[in-house]
Amino acid sequence: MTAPLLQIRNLETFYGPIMALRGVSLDVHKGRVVTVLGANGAGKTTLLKTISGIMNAEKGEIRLKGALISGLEPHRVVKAGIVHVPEGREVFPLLTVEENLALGAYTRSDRAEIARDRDMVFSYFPILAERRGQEAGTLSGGQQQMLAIGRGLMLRPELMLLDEPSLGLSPLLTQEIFAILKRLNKDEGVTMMLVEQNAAVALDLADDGYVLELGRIVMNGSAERLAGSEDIQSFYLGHANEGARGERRWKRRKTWR
Amino acid sequence: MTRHATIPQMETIKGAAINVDATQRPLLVDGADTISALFRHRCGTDRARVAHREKTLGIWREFTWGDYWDHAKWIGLGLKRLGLQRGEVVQILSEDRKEWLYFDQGIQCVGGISSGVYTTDSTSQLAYLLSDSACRFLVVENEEQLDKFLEIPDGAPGVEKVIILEDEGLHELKGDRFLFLPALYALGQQEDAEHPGSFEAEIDKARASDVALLIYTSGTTGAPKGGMLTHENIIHAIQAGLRNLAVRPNAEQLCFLPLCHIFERNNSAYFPIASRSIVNFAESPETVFDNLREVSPEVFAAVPRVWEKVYSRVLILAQEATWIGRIAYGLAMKAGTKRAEAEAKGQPLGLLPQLGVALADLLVFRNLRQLLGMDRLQQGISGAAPISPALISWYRAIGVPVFEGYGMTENAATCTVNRPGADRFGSVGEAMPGIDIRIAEDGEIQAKGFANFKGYWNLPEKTAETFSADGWLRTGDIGRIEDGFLYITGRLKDIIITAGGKNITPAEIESRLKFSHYISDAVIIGDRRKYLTALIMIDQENVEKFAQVNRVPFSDFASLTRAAAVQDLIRAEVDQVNREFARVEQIKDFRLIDVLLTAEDDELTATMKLKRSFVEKKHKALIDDMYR
Repeated sequence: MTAPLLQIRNLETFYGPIMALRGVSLDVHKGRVVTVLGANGAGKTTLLKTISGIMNAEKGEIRLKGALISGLEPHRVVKAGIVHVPEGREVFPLLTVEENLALGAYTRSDRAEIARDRDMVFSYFPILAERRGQEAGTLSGGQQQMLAIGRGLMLRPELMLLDEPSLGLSPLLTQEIFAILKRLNKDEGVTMMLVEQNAAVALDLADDGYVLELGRIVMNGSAERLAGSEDIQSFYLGHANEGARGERRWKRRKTWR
Repeated sequence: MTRHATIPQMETIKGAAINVDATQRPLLVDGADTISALFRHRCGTDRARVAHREKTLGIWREFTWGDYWDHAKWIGLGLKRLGLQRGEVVQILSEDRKEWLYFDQGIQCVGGISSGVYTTDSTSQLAYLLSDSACRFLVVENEEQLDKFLEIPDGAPGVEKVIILEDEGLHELKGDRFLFLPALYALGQQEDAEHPGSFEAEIDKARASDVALLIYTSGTTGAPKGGMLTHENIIHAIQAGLRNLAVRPNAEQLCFLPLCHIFERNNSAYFPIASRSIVNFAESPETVFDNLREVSPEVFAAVPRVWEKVYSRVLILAQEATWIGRIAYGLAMKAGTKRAEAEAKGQPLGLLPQLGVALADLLVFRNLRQLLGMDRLQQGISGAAPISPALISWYRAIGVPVFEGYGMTENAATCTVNRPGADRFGSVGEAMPGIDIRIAEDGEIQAKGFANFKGYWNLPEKTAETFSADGWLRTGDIGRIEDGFLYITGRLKDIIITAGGKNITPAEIESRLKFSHYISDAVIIGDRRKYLTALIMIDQENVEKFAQVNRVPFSDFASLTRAAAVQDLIRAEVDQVNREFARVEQIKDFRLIDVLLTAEDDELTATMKLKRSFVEKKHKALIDDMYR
């Protein structure tokens, strides 16, 4: 295989004295979707924040196309080609849809190219085209999520970090957004690193996956392998083994094999 | 007591009257020759005193000897009403909790035999134990353990009643076969009201030679065997415990190893009946270290694995400390090690080193002991597996006296132990009072005393094999006696004969490997092979730490074992060990086990030791690869 687009080695990140990432190493290859699964507090968001430079790593290194990016200021990480679509959308509520999209492209100067990309975003998210003049704060949750993704695309990123795009969305809307993400990956070749609690949709979209628990990677492999694992099925996909009584509540211990 | 014609001379040790000479029958503790009689005596003298503590919803709650007696009585009478006959086995499948002990005593008091099943055992193992012991009454803790029973393919037809301790999630459960604990208590109360005094009458029927409990041995080869221990065996163990351990009235102890194992059973179920120490139950196997800190026990008996874990935690803490902290720890360790060395040699410490030790104690060790929950520990005991002498030295250096002992199910874990004043580095101590030990011609350690068990349940041939022609217990271990102290070198049946015809005891090499804190266990391979090799289980926490510090990338456990730097690290440890052995005893090659084993896996015993036969079978591919 060729060298990975993103290479993370032995990353350790702290919140004060609390160690949130305890030595994470992972690879993201170009053109692929990599998902990071984990329960609340596993360190998923911390991992994304450390990659995008919002948080500083205590130890370890992050390389994009071989160049060291750990320790860079967030705006330099963006320039290097990594865009972060944060948890809870974080669109600018008082700016219009168009203005939000324009801000996504603030590192670029070629107006014609930007206009073409905006049309591309509108073609994937037609609802945004309809609401282009509307203030972003007045959009629905799903539309805001689309806008946040669209804003990220405006950078033409090498790598898109997606933090819980399904958060607070109806199952139907989640399906819709993930279908669009899949098309973006297949048609536009956007490389994505996706953090999700909704493991079913994430594993469906992703090529590779890592399971993070208490700041450590406990399992990794192809999305198919993960989806087939008994632990993932009972702890993340909610497949219940009903047992002899047909109403088993307890869960066996995880072994991550 | 009138049941004995002559009473041998007694003396009072830690508040209990016991035989001066433990080779003279009858063996008595406070006048009682059975566990049940002693239990009745204790609950009578100390009815209002605290016997147990258990944490519910974050609060430690206290339970008295009176509670212990009442509940054991209801259980005993309830089971009797259900039809339990004297000499029948009742199996208990539960984590450690006070009800475990209530059942243990209740069953024994009405003449039943109590036996424990490991909560990590699988359905098939449970099925085997139930049919082997002809069990009619099974006690299960909760839903999870009940499901294990319900999954038995033939439905375990011999089991008539299943008594369930916790009803959570089981309200829909129906059937005459199932009974919740309160219903059993109610049955017992009814029986007590209709036949007052019948419980006491049952206790009086017991004889010292009656079997009181079955302990199933982990069975590293073949099916598990039920070791039959009599009341007298346990009375002997109690006497030895009183003499050798720091137990005393109101001393705090922590119950956390499986009660199915003789080690924890003695310490938490039987010794306290004599010594009146207070048993605190750990909430779960995962919270042991927090519970340890909360309880800060005076007596703490653990397997080497637990001592190793505590040590690793301190090591990691020290590495992550500020530079001042690291220097202080380094200096203190130097002073502490000097003290431990002087103590080991029995020499007094010079004035200046004494000052250093006092300073180290004041500034570093006192805090460290508090942090670990070992600030009140008088005497730590390590048993059930060999422990590294280096580890014992470390504990001595920080002022936590740990002593190694030796015993097995077959002699009620009563054989030898080191203790303050009679302590030799690298040995497992002197024979306990009333025990004789000798080394047979083939090097096997043999023991004699009233603690020797009655035999294996339903296995007369195996029982006969376990005793020598003149009635000594064949331990299956090999070793030597120097100056009264026993040194163990290995297992008789594990002896490897290489293709070159050389006899090798793998345990010696394995223990040396385990002393590395990167290696949690190892199995040496080489029987009828050209050379020796090893399968190694790495210590996850320490190796991960190593990988982090040295920037070795890894994702999951398997990738950690595959990392070249980790392979090199272990190779260096193996080379280090090889230097201490003759050429034929050197390890030529090794492989790391790439799955993180848990207690549920067949390859591990309940005390987290690798089982040779299972490991050899399961990892045959890895082994074959080394002899290609």
